[in-house]
Amino acid sequence: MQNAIIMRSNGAALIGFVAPFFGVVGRYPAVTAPISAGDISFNREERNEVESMKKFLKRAIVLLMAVAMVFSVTGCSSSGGDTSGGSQAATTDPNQLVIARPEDSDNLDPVTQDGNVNIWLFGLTMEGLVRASDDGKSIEPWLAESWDINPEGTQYTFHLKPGVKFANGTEVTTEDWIWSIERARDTESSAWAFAMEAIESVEAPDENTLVITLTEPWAPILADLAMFNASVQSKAYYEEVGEEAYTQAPMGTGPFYFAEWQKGEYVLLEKNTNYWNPDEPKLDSVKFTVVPDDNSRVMQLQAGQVDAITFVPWNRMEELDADPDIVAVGLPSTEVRNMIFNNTIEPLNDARVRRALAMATDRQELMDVALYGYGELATSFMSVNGMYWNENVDYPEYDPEGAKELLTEAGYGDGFEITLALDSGNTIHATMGTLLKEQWAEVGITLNLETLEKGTINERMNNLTLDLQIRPWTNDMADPSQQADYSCIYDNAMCLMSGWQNDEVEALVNEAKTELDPEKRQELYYEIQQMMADELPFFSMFYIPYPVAYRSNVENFIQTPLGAYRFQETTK
Amino acid sequence: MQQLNYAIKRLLQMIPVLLCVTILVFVMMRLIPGNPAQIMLGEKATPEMVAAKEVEMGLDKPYIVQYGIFLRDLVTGNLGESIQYSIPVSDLLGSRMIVTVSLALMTALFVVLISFPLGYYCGRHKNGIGDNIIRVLSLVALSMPQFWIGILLLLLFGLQLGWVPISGWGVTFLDHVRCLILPSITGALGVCTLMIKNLRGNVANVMGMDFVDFARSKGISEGRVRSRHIVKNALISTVTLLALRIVNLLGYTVVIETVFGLPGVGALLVEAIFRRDYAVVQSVVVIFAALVLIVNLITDISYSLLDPRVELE
Repeated sequence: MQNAIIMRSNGAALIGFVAPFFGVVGRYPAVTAPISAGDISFNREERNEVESMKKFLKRAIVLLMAVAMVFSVTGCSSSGGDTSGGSQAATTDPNQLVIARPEDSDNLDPVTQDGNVNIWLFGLTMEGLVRASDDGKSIEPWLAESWDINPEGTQYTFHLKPGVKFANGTEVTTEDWIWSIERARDTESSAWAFAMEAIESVEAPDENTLVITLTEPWAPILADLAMFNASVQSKAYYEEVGEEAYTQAPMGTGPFYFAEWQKGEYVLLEKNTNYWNPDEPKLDSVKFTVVPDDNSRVMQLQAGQVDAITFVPWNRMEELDADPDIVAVGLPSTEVRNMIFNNTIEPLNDARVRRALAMATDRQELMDVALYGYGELATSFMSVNGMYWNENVDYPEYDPEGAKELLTEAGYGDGFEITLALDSGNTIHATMGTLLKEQWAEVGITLNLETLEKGTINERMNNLTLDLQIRPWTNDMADPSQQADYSCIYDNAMCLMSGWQNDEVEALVNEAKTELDPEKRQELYYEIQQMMADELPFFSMFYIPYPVAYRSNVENFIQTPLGAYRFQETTK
Repeated sequence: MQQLNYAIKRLLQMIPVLLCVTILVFVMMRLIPGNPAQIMLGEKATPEMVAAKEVEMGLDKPYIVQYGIFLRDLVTGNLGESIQYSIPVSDLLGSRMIVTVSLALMTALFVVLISFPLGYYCGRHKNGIGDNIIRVLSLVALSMPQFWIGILLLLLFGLQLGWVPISGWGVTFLDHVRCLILPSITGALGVCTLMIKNLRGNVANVMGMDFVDFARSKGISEGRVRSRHIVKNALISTVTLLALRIVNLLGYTVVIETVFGLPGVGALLVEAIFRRDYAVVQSVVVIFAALVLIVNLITDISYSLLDPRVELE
């Protein structure tokens, strides 16, 4: 809600600024008002006047009633005379799932797009050789039924599922596979090309086999290939429509396909009648509508105008779940909400100070107040719903006394002043900031809060000119290598924009990517997680689920921790 | 003839005004911090990727060159390409213009339906009980923030009574009309206060004029006096005011479309400002500005047609 108000005020300010400008420039002719001659009235006229006024009012009332009747009739006809009271039954098409979300997609090409607004839809429309399991913790066969790995771990031979077709009915060929994976690797502007870097070549010895050769043994390769950008897409279709049009409606093999996109209004996915599993999907179509206002989204769900909504405001979750017609849940996600320290400035360049700040933070209170209790206290920088998460990390806990001691040891016994940048419109972060101000004051730290617009924050983050900031991280693949790369390797966005650099951790992260023995990999990641907890370049505060609510007649609503929707079995 | 000369003169005057608007919006968009390439690429972008994207979007060029390209495209009727959607802005605007214009027209309809009868009543019964009640209520309506009125109306008519959709635009024509009812009433409430006040004053004034007394003394029926002499004269400045308020409504659509989830130009503008979608913001503001100017012109001309006493210079 807060978000929406800010949005409005910004937009209105712009118009408000421009509009009066014309008022001044445009020249209006002078209004020659009739001169008033005072109140002269006639008694006999007065009576006439009352009569005529009565008639006039009568007519006006009749007109208003007529208008009201028209509204109520049209209203009743659509709600089907339903009498269930405050919460109306769904009036949407029984074979179409309608989901309201706050933001529209912007580019539907799995390779060149770069945001969750697009990525989450690929679970419905795109398929690859393998895929992440529903719980996000393992990789399972998908369009490849099985695979062999050479002893060196540098060559994967995939045995493809026969008879798979694209949504337009054309057969998937090995040529499509080779083209798709090579395009994912070689498109320079792709934010996901990093995941294909280890692939040296893709070949097809016969029409049901795909051989992928790697430049070196590469542990995350299966998770890489499970990513949306490695999904098989139609080469012929791409060449036919061209690069620009492809971003509007790409062609894959998923249970649904992109049928229509009204910008800013909705994305419509229709059932793929050529889907390789003839029993799926159960639904005819899925429609993602765009409703930026939180309140409107919630009300649409309550009124049954939509079947599901995403990004439910936390303060409405309990209320919605109490409604017998609605299920409101926090679905497991890979989100970690981090407090980013600027490691390039004093006193945050001292690990003891960073740890002291973490220990001065009563995260339980933040979570209860700002997130209404939804979420979990993080105990590692890695996502809880991913592979190799270490549950036994010694992570800083709330201990104000200990924090004071650490600060004294670091030479800041008298405290210091520091500023937390808050993204405007984000009420959750604003609440957290307000609570932190109080909590940190207890250990002698003066926390200033500065609210900035998101674009500004990103820019200053890049220049390392902010002290502190709260920002979320989400994974795009099941393997922890992406998260470890971005969190620990300086060249990847300066370790989540913290400006921290540590050669020892970087070496371990690189080693973990080429270590093929799962047990040894696990040891490496466990060690990395502990080292990050000791160094604390940023403070991972919470694991936060996806707040989703849907009508209780919707069954098998699946969203994986990586965000992908899976509606093969969904019904309503 | 007089009107035609006047119109041509005013149309020519619009050119420098619109030019100023292009400069203003261009400079303002670039004064707000935040890099469109960075916003587009999100949290995981490396500085190299951002730089490459900037080149692709033409943002690496000097501002003066960017402005030149913007002007050149504008003159040739090309509104540029949306950064966010990578499609021409004109494609984005088409259907959204229909929504916003429908919203403005329907709002005008509600303004007329609500304020004309009430304004007339208040003018006839100046300082009476009904007049005072209406004036207080309309002042209350004016004082409430529009988005809040919108949410209250939604709660009552959308959620509790289920008469109208909560938000959205629908598919059929009837859907569209039903979707527009609450947003239009919300928009109308903010304007009605002023209209009622204006009409009330006019009606009271006209009723005291000699020609009204004269008409009555000729024995013309009261209904005829009302429709031919009082209402017609009282409406002149009210109609002008209505036209100007409707133009102002273009600004309100930003709020109303966001609350009611209408896919109109106002909602697009908000989205575009946040995404720093320069081409879209620039186009929308220039179009709104042109609309404001043109409606002002039409209003001025129609004013002289309605009332021959008004001279156009």
